[in-house]
Amino acid sequence: MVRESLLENIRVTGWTLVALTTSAALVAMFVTMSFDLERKMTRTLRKLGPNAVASPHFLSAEREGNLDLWKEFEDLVNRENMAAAKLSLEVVTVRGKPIVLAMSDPGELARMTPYWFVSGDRARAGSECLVGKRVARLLTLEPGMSIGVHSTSDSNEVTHYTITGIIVSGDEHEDRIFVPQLPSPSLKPRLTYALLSVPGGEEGIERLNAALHKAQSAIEIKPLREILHGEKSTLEKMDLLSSIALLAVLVLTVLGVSSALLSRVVERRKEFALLQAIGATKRSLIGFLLLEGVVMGAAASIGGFILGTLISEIMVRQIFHVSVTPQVIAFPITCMIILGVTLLTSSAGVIRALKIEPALALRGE
Amino acid sequence: MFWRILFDSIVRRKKRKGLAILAVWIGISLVVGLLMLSLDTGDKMNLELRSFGANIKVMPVSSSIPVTVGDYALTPSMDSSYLTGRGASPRPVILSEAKDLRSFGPLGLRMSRLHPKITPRRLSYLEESDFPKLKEIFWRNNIMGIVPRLWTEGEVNGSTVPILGLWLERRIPTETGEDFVTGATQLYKHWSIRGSWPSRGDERTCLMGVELARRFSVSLGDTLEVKGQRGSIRFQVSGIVSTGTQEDSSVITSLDTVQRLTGLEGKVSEADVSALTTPENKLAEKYRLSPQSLAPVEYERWSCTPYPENVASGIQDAIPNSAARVIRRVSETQGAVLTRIKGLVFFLAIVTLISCSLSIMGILASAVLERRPEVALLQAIGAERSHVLTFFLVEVALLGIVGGFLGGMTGSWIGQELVQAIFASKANDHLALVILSPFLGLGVASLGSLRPVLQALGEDTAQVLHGN
Repeated sequence: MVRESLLENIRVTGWTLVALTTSAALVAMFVTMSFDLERKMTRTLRKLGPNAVASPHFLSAEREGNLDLWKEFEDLVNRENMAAAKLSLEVVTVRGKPIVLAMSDPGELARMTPYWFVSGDRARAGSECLVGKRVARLLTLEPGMSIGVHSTSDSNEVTHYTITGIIVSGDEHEDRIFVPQLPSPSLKPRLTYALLSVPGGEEGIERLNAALHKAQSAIEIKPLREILHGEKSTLEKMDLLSSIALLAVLVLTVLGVSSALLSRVVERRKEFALLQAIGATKRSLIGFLLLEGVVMGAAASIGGFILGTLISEIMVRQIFHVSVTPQVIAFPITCMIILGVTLLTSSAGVIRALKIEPALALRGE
Repeated sequence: MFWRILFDSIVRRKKRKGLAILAVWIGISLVVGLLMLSLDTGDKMNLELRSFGANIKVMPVSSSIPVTVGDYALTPSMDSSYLTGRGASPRPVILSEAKDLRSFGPLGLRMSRLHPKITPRRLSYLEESDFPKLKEIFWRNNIMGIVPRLWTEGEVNGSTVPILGLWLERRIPTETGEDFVTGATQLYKHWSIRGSWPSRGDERTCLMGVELARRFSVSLGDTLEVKGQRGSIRFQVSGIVSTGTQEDSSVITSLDTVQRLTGLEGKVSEADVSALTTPENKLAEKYRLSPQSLAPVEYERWSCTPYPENVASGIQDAIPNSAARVIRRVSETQGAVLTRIKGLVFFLAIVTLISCSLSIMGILASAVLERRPEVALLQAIGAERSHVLTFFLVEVALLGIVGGFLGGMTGSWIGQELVQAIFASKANDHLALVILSPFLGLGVASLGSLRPVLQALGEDTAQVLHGN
């Protein structure tokens, strides 16, 4: 009977379904976004550079030649699939000037320093190097030039590197020369530290520190608070914005859906009058109208979920240049909200339908 | 005749018309409120991004490159030939070789500025008195925070420790007559402080870096004596600070106090500046790669846009002997966040506008559908289709204008409250939005009614009047 009624009044059913599906799509979109947006934003932020620095508690441990000092840390980084770049520092001389030479894996370094502006290319081969802007300016260096790096050890070895690019970073990196490997394998770096991009903010860093502590590692991870604080504040504002927009959309949804459902009742006054005239009880009429609402709500929830996920995909792709992760949880939430709204607004229609006088309605008055 | 029928129609069905106005009112209120929020979000988020800290660093112009490894720097006093490059047989001396290694603190990202070990008198300094001038430069309205800092060293319990003096809170008079309030308490909101900032005007309170506090077993409220070149001061520790950078192993107090303690009155070694900037785009990139490639119009646009490099350049010009560097780690992050949030908010505004329009259209459509017999009656007594259509559209347009006007008023209030609630600051004035809202109401109401009126006009008059 419900199916026939819905098909019989296809025009008004269609209009109500459009209103409900639009609402369901918006709800699904906001729910998907609220789950996925933070993740996407965090991922974007994590791609912008490090939010923590790892270093030994005391340099003494490293200088004592403890080769396994970083082992637990590296195991942890691999296990957690985190982005990290280890940098080893040594002081060398170039053209008679003392300069800090930093050795790091080029791939790891590129992942941790996407904010650098590199005029030229990043160093790849062992004989290539990147030079900080200040070093380049003071020593009048340019990409393509070759420099001799003098070791400060007793051997006073000289290694030649070709400059592939000049770094602009605005921080201490502009005062250094970056090479993929140290000039001499026998050279022991004065200091090694690592830049890390830790997911999960401060809690994530605390968890890693606890793991390192448990493994009795001499490495400690310290958060870069300005980055973490900025990220947290940004994400909080985004959450608040999304919640307010969702609330506004929900209010509008209730308004739109209730009017659509009321117009269903108005359009079908004669039908309800006839049902009452042939003996339908008020209870059965209420049940019939609510069931109609539930069927339409369920259909709209399915369509809306698909449509909402598609809209989220377009939005996330436009803003974050990645695909949205469909949120299964968004479906039951959308169903619950849309069915709740449908039942609520159907109730208004039920009240209206119950007020219909069968005799008057059947006479067309 | 037309206007009389229209007037009668509006007066006769007050309740129904009231409901239609209410629907437009609520809808337009929400749309205007959310649009106001959207329009303000870009600016407000840019201000919020100050929580990422300073994005420009001002330092003295230097003819040498700092050579620092961890807490330690090359000392010119041991072999000054390395700074001039005239040494016959270069072999730099690193302080870390000479001192107790256990005194190394943890490392921050900006290691080069951990602890200037070079004898202070040999360092270049900036003049503290130059910094208020930043509120007079072309980009003065973009300067949101300034913290001049003086790094030096003192003695605590027989050990040499870094001491940082900074503006805690400073009022700079501006041309508008309002004071510009700046300082560490405003700019370093990301610092995690157990306790409180040193009291303003009280020279005997200080913050202590978490690592230093651990090293000296100092707790909140403890006192410690710091010896400088010009005497000593007994400080009470008002807070233990954790920043993740070099401040963690320092004693931090007001700039005046540190200047007096070290005899460096009026001097600062660096400054952090937080500026509102525009994320770099293709134009900025084009200029960076080849300034000559910019057409005159492009150059004008580039020079009037607060790109980080432009603001830094303005700062550098205002502070003699300074080099202002854009901290790209911060500015790039801010740019990326701002671009994405603007995209998101624009999208939210569009979605809200669409959903609101659909809802209002739905409400008006059902209102018009209920009046099908009226449409049929008008046609039955000889009214032309165009007359009926005009009649309904004008009526709905009037309702839309009234609803839109009311919506503009309340929406503006809603927008202000939302901006206040989310960003804790006053919303900007968007008079255009309030003026446009009656037209928005008119447009949405007319669009919403057109389809159902046309539908009603297409129906069989006799059937409708029979109640079928």
